[in-house]
Amino acid sequence: MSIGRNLILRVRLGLFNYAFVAALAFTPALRAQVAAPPAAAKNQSGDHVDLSGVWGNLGGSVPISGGEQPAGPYMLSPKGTMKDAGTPADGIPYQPWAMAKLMSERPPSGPRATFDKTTDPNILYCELYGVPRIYNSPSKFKFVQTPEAVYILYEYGVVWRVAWLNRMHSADPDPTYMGESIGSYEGKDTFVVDSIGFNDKTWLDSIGRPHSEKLHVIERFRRVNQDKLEMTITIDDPGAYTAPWSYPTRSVASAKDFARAVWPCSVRENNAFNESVEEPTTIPTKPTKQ
Amino acid sequence: MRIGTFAILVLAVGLFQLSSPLFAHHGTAGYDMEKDTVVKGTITQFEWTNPHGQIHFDVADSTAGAQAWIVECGPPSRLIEAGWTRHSLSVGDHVTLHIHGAKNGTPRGILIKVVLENGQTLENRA
Repeated sequence: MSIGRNLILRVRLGLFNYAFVAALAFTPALRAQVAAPPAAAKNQSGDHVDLSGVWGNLGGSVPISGGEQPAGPYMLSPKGTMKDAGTPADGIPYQPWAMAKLMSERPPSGPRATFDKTTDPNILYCELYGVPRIYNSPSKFKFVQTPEAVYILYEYGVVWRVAWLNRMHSADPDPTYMGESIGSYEGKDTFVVDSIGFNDKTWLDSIGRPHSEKLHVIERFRRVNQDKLEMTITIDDPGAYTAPWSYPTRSVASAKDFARAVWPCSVRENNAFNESVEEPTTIPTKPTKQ
Repeated sequence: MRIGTFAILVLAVGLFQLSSPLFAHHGTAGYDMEKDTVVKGTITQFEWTNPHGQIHFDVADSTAGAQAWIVECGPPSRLIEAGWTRHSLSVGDHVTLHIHGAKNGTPRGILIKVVLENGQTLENRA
């Protein structure tokens, strides 16, 4: 494919993304959700949770009062610590190749963080974050609930995904960045997204934990109250880990002003930022003259 | 880059932070996140852009002329939550910047907050 045709396709895909979000934003259902939320979380259908509102990503977008929300919890070890995250001591059952792959990465965050020659596929190529790394972005997300599916819109990317309701997974879904997602409601306060069909190009998080195409992600969203959404994300990947494991359960706060300024990823902008800001900090310190 | 010269320009160094609210999706590996530094300068450019905004400013140096700094801040989607606009900083503004500086002493850093000449404070949201 020529560079020109490639560029045209990228622009088309970008426009499609904006058009999709814009179309959703002007549907009556979404307009209702954009309006100021009621004092207490309501249940639209009477038998499942109402996820309306705007939610802060776990990357630090919206602090929760009381200081209970550490930055970027979906990079932590399952114990909730950062100092050992992404090391053999972090409690995650890495298969040997997965640990070796992790140690070969040069991530932007975590104990092994570096600005120097990152291998981050999102920073280098603007490849989609994937799941659950999309929640590492310091931006916001929003659910759009319909009878047949729940759409999840993310400011960062600009990315959206669909969790289909009332259906089963495909027998052999094509591997993609965001996978194939099936949604289901549990009780009156919880929504569960079960995803498979991922490619193996993305990282699970911003410290570079790898995964295989056997990745199976379970996201559990429990609406604690009007202002708090509790999230538990479980990784079940027999191709990279010897047992399922979960990131520590954390809550995100309700936010406002969804998509007032979206955050498209640009390789050109990433490179410019790296050259002007990050690279100078990687030059070894020279001895100072006395 | 002469770190000794920089030391003259830095007004306050060493305020210890137990934790920082700043989280940049590109990370903060190049910065000393446990030390706050205060720098006064004159804005030469304000880039309202992704993945992170960039504040360019000159710091007066009595021996080597103006020293050109670049400090990163949040992207527009984050800064607007803290009350910023693309016009918040203009060329020629005299400002005081609270930053976490580069570990290697180069004139780079990540913004904590900026205080404008009129006393208004704009917090960073990284």
